[in-house]
Amino acid sequence: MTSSIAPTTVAGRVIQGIERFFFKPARVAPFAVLRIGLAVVLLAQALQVAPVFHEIYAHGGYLRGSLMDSFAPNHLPAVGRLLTRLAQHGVAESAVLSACGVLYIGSLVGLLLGWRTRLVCVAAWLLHLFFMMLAPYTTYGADDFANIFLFYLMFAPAGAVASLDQRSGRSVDLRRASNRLVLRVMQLHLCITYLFAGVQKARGEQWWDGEAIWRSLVAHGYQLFDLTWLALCPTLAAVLGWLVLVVEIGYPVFIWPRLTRRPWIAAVVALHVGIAVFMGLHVFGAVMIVLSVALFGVSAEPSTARPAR
Amino acid sequence: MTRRRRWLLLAAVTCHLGLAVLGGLGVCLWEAGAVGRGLTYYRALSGVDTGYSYFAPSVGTPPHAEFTIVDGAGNEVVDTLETRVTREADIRVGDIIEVFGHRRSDDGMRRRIAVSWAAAMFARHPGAETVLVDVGYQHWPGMTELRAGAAARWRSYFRARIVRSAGATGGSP
Repeated sequence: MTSSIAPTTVAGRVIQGIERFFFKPARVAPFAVLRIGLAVVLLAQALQVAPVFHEIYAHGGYLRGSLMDSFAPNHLPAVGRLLTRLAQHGVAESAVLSACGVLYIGSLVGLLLGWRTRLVCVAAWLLHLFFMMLAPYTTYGADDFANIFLFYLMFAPAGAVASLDQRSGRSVDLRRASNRLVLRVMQLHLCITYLFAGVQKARGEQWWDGEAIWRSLVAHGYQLFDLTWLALCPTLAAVLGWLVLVVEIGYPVFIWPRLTRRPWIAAVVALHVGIAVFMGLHVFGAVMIVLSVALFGVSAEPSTARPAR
Repeated sequence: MTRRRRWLLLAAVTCHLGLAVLGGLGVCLWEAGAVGRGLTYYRALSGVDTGYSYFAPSVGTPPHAEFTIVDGAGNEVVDTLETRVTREADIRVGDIIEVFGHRRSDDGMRRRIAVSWAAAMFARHPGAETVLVDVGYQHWPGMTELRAGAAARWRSYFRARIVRSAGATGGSP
C-alpha cells in the first residue's frame, strides 16, 4: 500500500500521511454496524409512517390531485406525475404505492440480515429516494441522512460480517484500502454536517441567549412535556444552547483524537437522546446516534480480519 | 490498488465532499451550464445537496391547522390532520401543514389546500356538513416576556368555511 521507504522530504511525508489516512487497510465492522443500525431505525420509521402512508403519498391523500406535485424540489422531476401517468394507463396508484412500500420494507429486512447486501442496499436507497421525492414537503433531517448514508453503504462491503452473505460465503471480511476510503468519506461528511449545523446555529442570537432552547422545548408541535418552568432559569437555557454549539462545532475537531473521541461520541449521543425525548424526534435522534457510533465508535483497525490478498 | 488509481479515487471523493460543502452553503449549480445541471441531479441522488441549518439560525414556530366539523344537527367536533397514532406520522403531517407557508403558495393555492384538507375531514367524519379550517400558530412569548406575565396566544392567518356540496359523499367537499 504505502511505500516502505521513509520519505525524506516534507512533501513526501505529507503524501504518505494522506495515503495512510485514506488508504490504510480497514475492517468492515463500522459498515456492518451502520447497515444494521440504519436498517433497524428505518424499519421502525416505516412502521410508524404506515398509518398515514396513503394520506401522505397518494394523490387522494391530504394534498389532493395536482396539489401533491406542486411542491416538487426545484429542477427535479415530480415523481408523483409518473404515478398519475401510470394511472392513466390503468395501473392503480394505490397498487404501485403498496408494492413500493412492501419492497422498501423487504429491502430493509434484507439489509438488516445482510442478505444480498449490495442489491438490497441499492433497492433501499432507490425506494427511500422515491418516497422522498414523492412527498418532499414531508421529509426532514432523518430522511436526508438516511438518503446520504444509504448511498454510501452501496459502495461499502457492509455485508461482509454479521450477515447471511458472510454465512453463505458470498462475502468475506477482508481488510482493504478501499474500505478505509469509503469510511473516511462518510466520517468527513459527518464532520461537515455537524460543523455547518453548529456554525449556522451560532449565527443566530437565539442560540446564545437560550431562546432557541426555550422555543424548541415549548413551541407548539414539539412541546411534549411542560417545560415552561425553564423561563424561570434562563441561564440554564443559555448554557444548554452553548453546549449544543460546542458539541456541534467541536465535532470535526474532537471526534478524531483518541483521547476526546469517546467523550464526544457520548456528548453527541446525549444531545440526540435529548432531542428525541424532549422534542419527539425519535427517528432523527436514532439515525444520528447510529452514524456517530458506527463511524467513530467502532474500530476499523485490522486485528482479527484476514489481510487482503 | 495502484497509486494512480488511489489518487484518482481521492480526486473523485474530494469533488464529492466539495459538493457536500456547497450543499451546506446553499449554493445552486443549476445555472452553471450542462455540468451544473448534471451535478444538480447527482447532488439530489447522493444527498449532498442537503443544507444542515436545522433549527438555525433561529427556532421558529411551526404552523398548525385545526378543523371544526359541524354536522347537520349543529354538533361541533374539533379535529386535526395529525392522528396522534405515532409521533413520526404526526411529524410528517405537520410538515404537510407547512406547505401553507411555502413560497409557491399564493392565495389561490392556499384555498385549494384548505379544500383538500377539508375533503380529508369529510372523509373522516361522514356526517359532517361544514368544516371550518383555521390555520395559524401558537405564539409563545420569550422567557423574559413570560416572566413579565405574557401568555401564549393563538394567531390565525387563514380561515375558511367549507361546505359539503349537495349530493357529495365520502371525502368530497
